[in-house]
Amino acid sequence: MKLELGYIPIDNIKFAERSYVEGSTLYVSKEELSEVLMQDENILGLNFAIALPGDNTRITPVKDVIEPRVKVDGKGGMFPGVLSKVDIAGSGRTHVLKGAAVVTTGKIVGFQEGIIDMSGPGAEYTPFSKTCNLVLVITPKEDVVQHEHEYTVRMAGLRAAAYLGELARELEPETIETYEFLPLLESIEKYPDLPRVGYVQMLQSQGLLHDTYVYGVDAKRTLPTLISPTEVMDGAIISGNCVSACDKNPTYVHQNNPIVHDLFKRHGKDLNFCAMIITNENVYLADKIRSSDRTAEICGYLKLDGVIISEEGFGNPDTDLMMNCRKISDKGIKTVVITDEFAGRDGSSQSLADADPSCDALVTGGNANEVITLPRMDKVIGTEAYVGIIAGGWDKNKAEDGTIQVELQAITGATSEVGFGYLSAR
Amino acid sequence: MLIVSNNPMVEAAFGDSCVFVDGSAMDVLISVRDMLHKGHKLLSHPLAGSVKPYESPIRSVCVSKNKGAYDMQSVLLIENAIDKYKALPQRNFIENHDEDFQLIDLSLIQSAVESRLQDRQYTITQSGGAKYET
Repeated sequence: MKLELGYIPIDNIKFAERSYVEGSTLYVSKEELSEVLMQDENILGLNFAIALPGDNTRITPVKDVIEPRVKVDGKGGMFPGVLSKVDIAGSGRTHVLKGAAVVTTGKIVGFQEGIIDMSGPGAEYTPFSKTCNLVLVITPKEDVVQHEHEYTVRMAGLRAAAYLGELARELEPETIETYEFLPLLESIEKYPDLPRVGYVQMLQSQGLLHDTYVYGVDAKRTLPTLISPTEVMDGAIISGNCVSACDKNPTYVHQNNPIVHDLFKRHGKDLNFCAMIITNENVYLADKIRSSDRTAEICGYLKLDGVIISEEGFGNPDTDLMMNCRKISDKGIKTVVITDEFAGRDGSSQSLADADPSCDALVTGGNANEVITLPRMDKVIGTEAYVGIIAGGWDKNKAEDGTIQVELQAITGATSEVGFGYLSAR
Repeated sequence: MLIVSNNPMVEAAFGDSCVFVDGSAMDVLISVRDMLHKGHKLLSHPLAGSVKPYESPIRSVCVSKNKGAYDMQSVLLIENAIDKYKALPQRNFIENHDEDFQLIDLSLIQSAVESRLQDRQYTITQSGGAKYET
């Protein structure tokens, strides 16, 4: 499966009478975009805002971030099974408005979640301070219950990203990257001496506000399966996960998963990236056993030499992580797990809720309990009313001068468990 | 299956299947621990996913209705969870968000119950019917 990603660089967004791209500026017509989004009858009010790198702006509470793209050649459209008809993503050519992002914000439940600061110390922790963001502030009708509200916000973000992506259809990309994922036997024949490496991506799948969708299917109702990494790069997975801003994977991160990108970079050089497996993180213990069994069976069947496992979120998924690690290790396969830590504000508590002796190689995204102080911002998109009560904030955390104290976990993407962030020991 | 819970929404939804605990999330975990020592089996993970223990005052955990042999794995998981709760700082909860915490907790437990329904062990009875384990 061969995918070409054509990048059209964007370094500015402006509102205009009609929507188009000129040079590296994305012009957005609020009227045209409203027309697309207001087809959802649950939406009462819709506001748009622009947040650019360096702005004295805070976006909160953030739900999802999506990269605007368009399918120009090959099977399927954007987000097959969700926005476009069911098909296989991951081949042909996709154009990307690189540097632009759609950010959705709005209150769904009272204690949610996520801060993006476009400048200042907070900006150092979130990857989305570097993107030009079109922010959708969505107000639902009064009688819309929480799960419908989440669906409305999720779909609005995806529709807006597809609408903007469409503007790139006829444009000539500045750069084109090609990713090819070969059938297993061909890959082994081509690189007989390189170690066979697989990637197991765990998807958050616990229930309301904690869900991920694969080709539109709720991941909690799936068994672990093989998937081409180019499918994942091309919109096969979308996020409905609004919980734990620091270490959830927004849709943008699924589209740009650094583990996939880095494995492709090393592919054919010092390793053979020949399998990607997606699995879930369910509440029910038998599901955890079933999914980790199946994941390990697939890895064993493929006779992989090494596997990278990434977690999403924390708490009971730590148990899925350890089950996956132990069962894959039991097949004689080397493992590296990627997670983050909730080790208390001083870092002295146990980092994970579960552990296993087989987990002897671990990469951390950082300690999500670390406290930082964020300055007052001139402009707030969304509302700061929840900053005191979002995960990682606490009551009385706002000082008179407007500065706020939060744990890193309040910042979108701060301790990404796929490495889509800036915290590093380097 | 029994649901040990301090969540009024879970009690309202599951009635007799809910063992209601009038207390804190920690009290729920301790009630679960006591039941596991009496031979009930843990069916859902005692920790929440991505909602930190000290952030939510609400907790629900599924255990088997029937008692059987002492299940070491269940006991280890609950003791681990209790340790995790003790290790983290407590916070004053903000009253008017109780309902949101209750709703999230109810949703998570509903997903466990759906899994339980497709997972029930059964034996074929002499008359040819299926007898489900509770």
